[in-house]
Amino acid sequence: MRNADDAGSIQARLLKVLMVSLVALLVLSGSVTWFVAYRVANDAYDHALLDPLMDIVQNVRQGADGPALSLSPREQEALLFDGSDRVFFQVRGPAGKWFAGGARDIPPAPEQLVPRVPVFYSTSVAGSAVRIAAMRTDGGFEVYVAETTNKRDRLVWEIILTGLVPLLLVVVVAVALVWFGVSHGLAPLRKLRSELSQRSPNDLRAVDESHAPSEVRPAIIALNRLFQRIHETSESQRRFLADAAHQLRTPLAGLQMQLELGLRESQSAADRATLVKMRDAVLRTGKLTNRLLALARAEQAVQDRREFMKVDLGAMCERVGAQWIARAIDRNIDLGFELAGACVDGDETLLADMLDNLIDNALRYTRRGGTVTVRCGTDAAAVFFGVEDNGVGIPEGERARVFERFYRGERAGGDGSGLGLAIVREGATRHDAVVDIIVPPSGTGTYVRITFGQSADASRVAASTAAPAHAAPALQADAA
Amino acid sequence: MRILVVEDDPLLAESLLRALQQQGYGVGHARRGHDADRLLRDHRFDLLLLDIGLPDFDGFEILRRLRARADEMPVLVVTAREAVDERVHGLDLGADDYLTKPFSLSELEARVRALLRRAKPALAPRLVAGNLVVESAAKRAKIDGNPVELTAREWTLLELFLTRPGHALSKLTIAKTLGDTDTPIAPNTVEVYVSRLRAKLEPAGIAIRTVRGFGYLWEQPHA
Repeated sequence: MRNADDAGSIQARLLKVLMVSLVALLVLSGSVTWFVAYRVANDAYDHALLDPLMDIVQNVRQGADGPALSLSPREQEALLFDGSDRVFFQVRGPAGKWFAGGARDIPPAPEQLVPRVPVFYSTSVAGSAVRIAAMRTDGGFEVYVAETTNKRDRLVWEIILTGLVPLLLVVVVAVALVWFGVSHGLAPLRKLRSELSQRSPNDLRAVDESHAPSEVRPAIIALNRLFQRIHETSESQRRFLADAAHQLRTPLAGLQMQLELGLRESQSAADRATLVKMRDAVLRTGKLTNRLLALARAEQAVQDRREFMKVDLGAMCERVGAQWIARAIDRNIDLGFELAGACVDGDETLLADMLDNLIDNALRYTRRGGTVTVRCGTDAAAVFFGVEDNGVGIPEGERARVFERFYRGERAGGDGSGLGLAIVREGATRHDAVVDIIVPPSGTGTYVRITFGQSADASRVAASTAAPAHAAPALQADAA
Repeated sequence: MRILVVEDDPLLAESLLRALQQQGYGVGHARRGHDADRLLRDHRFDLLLLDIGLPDFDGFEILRRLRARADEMPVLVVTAREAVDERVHGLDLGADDYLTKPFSLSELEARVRALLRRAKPALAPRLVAGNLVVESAAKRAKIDGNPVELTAREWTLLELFLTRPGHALSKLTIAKTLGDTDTPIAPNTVEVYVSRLRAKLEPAGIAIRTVRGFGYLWEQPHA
């Protein structure tokens, strides 16, 4: 009842049950009271109605031309006087003819009248409810005395109210007690709810159940067990990643060094050729290992939702980009930076992995003498970073698929892992960022841009084109 | 020059020791954190090559204890992990440089040389880069035996490049080094100093490349 839409509220359910039963009780109790009150009122006032009846019965006799009442008008008036009700009478002769009393006909008794036995019944005369006392005289006349029911009704209502008002009070008090009682009783659940809702998503500490009432405790214990399991799963995944990194990279490092030492020491050209091939294979394996671990880390990060920190994208681009400068120079590629102030709340490891892969891809798919530019900044209130190259480009038809793991386009050379953009996509998902593949205005190359906080539906992977329509076939020609 | 190698993997340890010995360094080796800690207490080394994942306790702990003893020896951390926070952790605890496995022989040698030079410039009086000879202690440089006239700032710039082999230097880093710590010189001035130094070193076959939007990279001819 705290929330109207909350159909499942325990408080609402309890109050509903209580209200329905209390109203039913009230109705039942009201009817019984009414029935009893009616009888009590009739018993009391019927007795009073006997007096005028008996007086009239005793004073009716056979006159010269029909029955006559030997009571003066003054006596009659005294007889019929009543403070709150109108009282009137009729006498019927043996011939069935009415001859005295009020102006109205009184409906006959529902049963045969006999001398000296009064009969009481309720009916209505001219629209008013009346109570009637009737008796047959020894002379064969039938006497009817009618009385409106004002004082009887009053008595009935007094009795009903006397009975029902305390009952109504009980209902109100009961509802109030249940309302507050349930609120108070549910306080531990509310406390649990607010405690859980204030937690950060990756806070998996156990909830303290020592102060919880016994009804709530099993739920908390089950919840804690679930927390524990999630925590263990994510912990073991994290440990596995760290162990895998160590177990894979350390022997690779040993192998690489051995091969390089061998290359340095060997005099035979044939041996050297073999060693070079082996070293290159080890280098490729090392790269693939790094990509696999980065992808696993990115997926783990999406699951874990590790806490974000403020990341200076400019500093990150410098740090990550600097590691590629030597390689770019080796390949005679102009690796440049266009960095403007840009900060974002994020997971720096993940963002660095994303950028690392973007630069790696750009250098891989740009020919000697080409240009690669690392960018970050803020435009139209959105923070972004990305890498643009003037290389072979991604054909229109492949753009949606390049984010799949191990997908390698037709243009891909021999040493790509096919994981780079999958890592970028996972990273973008984690940051609710959008990845756009844009063809630069020059019409050749690729600009992969990560834009933060632009859309609520996380990680849209879009393929948009800033180039003229004829650019796509040209790209394919380039790739071939 | 003595270098302590702390690495538990036999293959990698053997490779490291062999490579360093070939370069003329004296070497010590520890497989476990405990042994490394004891060796560092009892003997003098000029450089520590430290693996992070060790069987008993991790390399960060060795580093922490070393710095707690106020030992300023240069430390090159070698690790299989690459998380940024771990990098920060290592540098916070006082590591001087960081290498992620796997790495190339030449990269290792360059980093070791740079760290030793940074720690003890007087002990590395001569550096031959191409046909350039640098005498740090005397602050003299010669190309093919002919002295090169360098101003104080050009000399600082040269030293900066030599202690960071293979690293591109951002304009900001250079500006901070050339100016006072609090008042770096203007980026345009950096360009002036770099182009002057570039012109003076050109006869030695040394190229100082401009990295667009970033800074400069020292490129020396391969031996």
